[in-house]
Amino acid sequence: MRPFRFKKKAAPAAPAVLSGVPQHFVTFDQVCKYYQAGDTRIAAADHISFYIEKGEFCIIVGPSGAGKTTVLNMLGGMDTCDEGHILLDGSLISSYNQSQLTEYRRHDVGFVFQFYNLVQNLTALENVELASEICQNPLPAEETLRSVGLGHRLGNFPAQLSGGEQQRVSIARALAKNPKILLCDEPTGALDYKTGKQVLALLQDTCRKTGRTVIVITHNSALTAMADRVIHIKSGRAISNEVNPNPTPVEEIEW
Amino acid sequence: MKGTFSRFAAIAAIVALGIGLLSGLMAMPIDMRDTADRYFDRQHLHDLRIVSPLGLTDDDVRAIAAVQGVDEVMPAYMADVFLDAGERKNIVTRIHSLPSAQMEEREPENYLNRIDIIEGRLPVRRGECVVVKSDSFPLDDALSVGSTLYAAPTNGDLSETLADTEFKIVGIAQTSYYFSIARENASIGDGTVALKIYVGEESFSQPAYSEIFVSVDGARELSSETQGYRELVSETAQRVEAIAPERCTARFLEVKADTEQQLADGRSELERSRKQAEEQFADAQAQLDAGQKELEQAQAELAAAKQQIASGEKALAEGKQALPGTLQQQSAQLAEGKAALLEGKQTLAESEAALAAKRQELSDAKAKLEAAKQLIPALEPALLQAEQHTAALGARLPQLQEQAARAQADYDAACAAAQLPLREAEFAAAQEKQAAASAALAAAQQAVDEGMAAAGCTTEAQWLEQQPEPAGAALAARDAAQLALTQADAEQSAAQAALSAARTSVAPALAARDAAQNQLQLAEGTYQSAAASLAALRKQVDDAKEQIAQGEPMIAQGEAQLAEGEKQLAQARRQLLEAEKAIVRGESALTLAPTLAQMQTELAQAQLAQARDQAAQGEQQLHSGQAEYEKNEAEYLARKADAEQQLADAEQQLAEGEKALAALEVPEWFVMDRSYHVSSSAFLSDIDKLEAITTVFPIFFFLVAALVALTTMTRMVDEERLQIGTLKALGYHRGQIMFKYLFYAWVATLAGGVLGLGFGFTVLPTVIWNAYCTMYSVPGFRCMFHADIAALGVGAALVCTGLATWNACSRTLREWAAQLLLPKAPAAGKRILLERISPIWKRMKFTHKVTARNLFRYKKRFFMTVIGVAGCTSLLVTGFGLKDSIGDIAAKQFSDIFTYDFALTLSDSRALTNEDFRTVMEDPAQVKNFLPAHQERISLEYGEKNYSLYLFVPQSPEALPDFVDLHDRKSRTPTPLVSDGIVITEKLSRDTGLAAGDLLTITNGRQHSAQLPITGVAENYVETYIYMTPESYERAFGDAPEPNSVLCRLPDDQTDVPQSLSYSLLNVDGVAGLMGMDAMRASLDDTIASINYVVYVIILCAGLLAFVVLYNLMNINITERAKEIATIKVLGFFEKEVQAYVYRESNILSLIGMLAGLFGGVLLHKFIMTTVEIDMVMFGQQIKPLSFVLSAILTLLFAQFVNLVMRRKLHGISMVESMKAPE
Repeated sequence: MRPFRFKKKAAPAAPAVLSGVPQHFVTFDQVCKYYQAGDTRIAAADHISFYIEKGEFCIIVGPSGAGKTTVLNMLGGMDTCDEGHILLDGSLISSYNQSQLTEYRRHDVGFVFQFYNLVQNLTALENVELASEICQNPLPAEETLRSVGLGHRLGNFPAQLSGGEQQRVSIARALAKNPKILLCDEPTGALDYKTGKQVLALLQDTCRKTGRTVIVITHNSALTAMADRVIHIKSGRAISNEVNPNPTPVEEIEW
Repeated sequence: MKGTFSRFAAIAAIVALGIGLLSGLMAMPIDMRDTADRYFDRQHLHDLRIVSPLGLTDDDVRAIAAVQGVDEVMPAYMADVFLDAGERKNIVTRIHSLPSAQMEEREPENYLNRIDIIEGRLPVRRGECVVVKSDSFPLDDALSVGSTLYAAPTNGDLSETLADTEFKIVGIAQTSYYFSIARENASIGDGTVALKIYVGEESFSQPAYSEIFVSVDGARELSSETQGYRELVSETAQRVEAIAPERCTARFLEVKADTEQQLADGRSELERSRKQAEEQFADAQAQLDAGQKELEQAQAELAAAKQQIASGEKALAEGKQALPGTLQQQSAQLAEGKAALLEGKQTLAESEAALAAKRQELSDAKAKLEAAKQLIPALEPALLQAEQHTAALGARLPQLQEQAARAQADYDAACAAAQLPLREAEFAAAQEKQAAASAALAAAQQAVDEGMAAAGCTTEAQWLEQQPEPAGAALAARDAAQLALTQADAEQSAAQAALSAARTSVAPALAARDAAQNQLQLAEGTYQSAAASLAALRKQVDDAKEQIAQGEPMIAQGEAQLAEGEKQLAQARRQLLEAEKAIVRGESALTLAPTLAQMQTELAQAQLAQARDQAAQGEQQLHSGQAEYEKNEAEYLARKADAEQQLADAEQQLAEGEKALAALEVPEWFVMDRSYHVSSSAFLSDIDKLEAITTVFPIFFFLVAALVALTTMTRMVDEERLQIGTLKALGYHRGQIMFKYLFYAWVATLAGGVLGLGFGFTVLPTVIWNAYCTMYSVPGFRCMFHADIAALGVGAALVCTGLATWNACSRTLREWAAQLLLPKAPAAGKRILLERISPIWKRMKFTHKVTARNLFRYKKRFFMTVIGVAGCTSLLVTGFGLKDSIGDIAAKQFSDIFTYDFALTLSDSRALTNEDFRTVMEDPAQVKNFLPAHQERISLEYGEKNYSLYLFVPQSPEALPDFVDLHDRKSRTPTPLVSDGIVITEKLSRDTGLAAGDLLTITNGRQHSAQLPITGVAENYVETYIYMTPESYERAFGDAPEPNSVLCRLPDDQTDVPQSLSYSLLNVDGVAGLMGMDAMRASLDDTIASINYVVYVIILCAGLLAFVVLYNLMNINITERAKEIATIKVLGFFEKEVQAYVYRESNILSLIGMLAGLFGGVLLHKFIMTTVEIDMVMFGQQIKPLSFVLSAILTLLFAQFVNLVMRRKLHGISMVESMKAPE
């Protein structure tokens, strides 16, 4: 039985380029996000602006509640902004509607979760294929899994894998979609130190080897040393956006 | 328990459903029976009904009343007749009697089968009736209160049945005797009672009661379908039957005597009629003779008329000739007349003048008389006044006279006293003396004067001188006279003085007398004048009166004369006028005369022509009269022949009556309990059927309830794992923790139970009752609370959920607290069997693979859903199947198997040879073909059981296929009737296990037995039949079968039996009834209509079941997999893909459940059909493909409905969920 397929939606509207704004791969321009908490309106993102260039390994760092997750949600197409503009590769994401956002998540974003979020009833390979099945130019699933070093665990169910392995399946699932950006939410949060390092190394490697833009969101500022670009967020604002000319290899970072 | 509402609701809902159905379905038959029983009790429905072919008498009533156990006895009349109501003619009506004499009392005795008046009132007079409200025969305007029913002419003579033939409807009633739409068989018309009415028993004229209703002592207190009731009634019935033979013999003798008497009467009547007929024919002959004579007379008259015409013609010719002479004579006469007229006119003028003078005179006299008449009234008052006045005056007179007399007397007395007369006399004497003296003196003087004058002397002295002596002596004498005078004067003065004195003394009296006299004179004067004037007046009046008296007759006379004159004048004038007119007429006549004469001639000619015509007509009439006479003669002969025929018929009838008398048998009583009562037996058996159908369903629901509770509680325990661990760590016992969950489950169960009981004890019985109300009108339905059913239902539910909860908890509770405090290790994905079939597995999408693995991973959910959905589908299949199987039998039996259109019941096989019968039956425009047959109801003993069935023997077996299609149900091959065997129907074969080739022993109605081989089993649904040929019958039982029914087919374009046909057939002697197959079909269709309601209830329950189960499944799936759903959303699955991902599982489960259900439905259906089946009817076993399709589609629709409801919940899962830590 051929599974039911939805027709591919037309690509998002032609990129609306903001005149006068310099062309970056990722641009946050005066982005605001408000939450209503009782009578008061809390600005989770308060005119936040930053940019990231293509191929960079970027770490967005900040303390809890600084607005990291909000930025991640908006960048990942899971949430919309109330004010300002978000651009990715020339497309104005902030103007997308729900369906366009889904399309965007489907094709342009690879997501790595803190708790891996693998489907328990699918094997490692099937989990990767689950994602690659729905996008236009997927990378071969098996190859991707091999590239994250799990060539020998293809047929295992998540419950049979260790945390690090699961996270690697998760990364492979994100990569297999061949996304424009790889968004990682505290990828090491649930891992031990050593495994965390391995995962980070994998991400950095991926960035270096494939030239994919990788954005890691973490509260651990020790990791900033390995990034090409470090954006500090505090109270919903980007307080710094620095380029690290000499990123330290992961192996040399201690935390 | 907060936040777990949907979980709580799931348990409560499924429990409510289960308990609702259980309690409702169990309570329903109880409630329905109870309602009916109360109705029966209230209306005193009879327990036994006794009928006898010869009717029942008052002696029978007394005998029955004396039977032990009999409470009340009500004899009643009943008759089936055709009634007309307005436009509707020939309504087949059953008329019942009411003991109207007793009903006026408050609590009448021996009044059974009471009726409730719902509109109007009970009949109290003859010629009044109430009609029974009926669902099968709606009462229109012509059958409403106030309208009148008339016995239809179709009935023929009703005088032996009814005393009244018109019934005014005074009320509309409801009765437990007729509360169902089940058809009552009528002995007339199309064989079905359409209308039922009740009239007072005086309206019947039947010689014997039609039936006797009996109530049994103590039976009212018992419910009518209980064993106790049945036993009690049947014991009494047996006792009644025990007295039957004696009573029947008595009745038989009575009827026999009556019949004999009637026959004797009939014979003498016949003789009389014969004599009468002879007389009548003699009369007729005489009339004919008279007619002959009349005819001859008419001929003579005609001849005379012809003669008259001839003479008329002659007269006319003569008249024409005489015409000119007549005209001249007429002119001369006219001139003479004119001269006479002129003279007459002159005389008239003279007379008129004289009359005018006389009239003037009379008018003058009249004027005078009038004046006199006017005077009298003017005078009479004056006269009256004058008379009065005169009288008054006259009255005063005597008084005055008296007064005057008295005054005279007074005066006379005074005079006497004063010596007045004396004085007067004296005075008068004195006066005389004086006068004498004076005279002497004067004489003396004169002598002196004379002597002196003589002496010529102027003086005395001179005279004395001259004649002294004469002088001297004269002088001396004069002197002496002087002296004497002087003396007399003195004397007179004295007397005068004395008189004056006397007069003075008398003066007052005198004055008084004078006054009185004066007065009197005055009064007398007045009186005189008054009297004079009165007399004058009176004279005047009298004169006038006299005048009037004289004038009036004169005037009258004058007037009379005048009138006479006038009259004469008028007469003269009239005469004149007449003469004038005559002259004018004469003149015009004279001018017109020729024309007129012409016209007269023509008229006469025309009349003559007419007379001639009449004569011709008369001739013609005479001819037709002759013809008529001949016709009459012929008719007379025909009538005579007819009358002779009638007499012969009557004779034959008498002969038949005698034969019937000879054939009169001792009757038998039929003692029938309520199971023979059409309405109540239909009602109770319908309830039995319903009860059987419905007992199966709750089982499903309890099974599903247990599964729902199990999955739900398992999920709950899983979710609260940590809490359980904590509690355990805190030192709670396992039991205590378990109790918490048990408590939760039980509270939900109880909540659902209460809800379900509320629903089950009220809504369900009411819905089904209302469904039944289309067939039965039993008022006063009451839903009751049945504690036993409630306890059973809730108890069972508690056990179910309790066990499920225990099962869910026990495994978790066995774990150590430490383990429990850790999150439960996610269950490892398992490879499933399907994966080994790589060609399929490889082609599957990953989302499908997930579904496949999930399906097999959660077995409880799998079973819950599959069983639930399968239950739903099975119910639907069963429901639709019920409709198919039961709904079909009417069509199958009465269209496919019984292909004839109507059947006649014969009371006498001679009807078949009746000429009227053959005329109708052999007319192809009315009846296509027909088949006489012998049918008898026999009791077949086989094994332990007794089967009541029909033995059917067609007169010509080769014609049978045209009327009854005998074939095998499955192969549809015919099972022909052959001469050496029998064909049995399918139900009998199934119940007994007998098949073609077996031998069956049959005992017929006359207790002859025979063993016959079965040659075929035929499809049949209603009743059970054994078909055999007449040859086998005769061979088997000895006698030839006598046809007692006729199967008939209508021409191909007809399906309904036309009324004209049914009447003409029913009028044939020996035809007892007619049953249209249409009516049979309709009657079955009505029963089946109620099945629809059951089907709707089933569909509703099925839908609820599917909903609860699927909702629960989805709810668990979605809450449990919220994170997974959020993740795939993040991965960029579209909303629809997400839905498909989640729904696929429930859809597949629904599909599996549905397929299982289609299969299960067949089994359930079969089970129910065999449970429900009653002896009389075999239900169809088939379910139509459409029913499967419908069930499948409905199931999937229910599933889609749940999906629709769940879509919101799915949409509501936020992607942020994916960021959360695992539970």
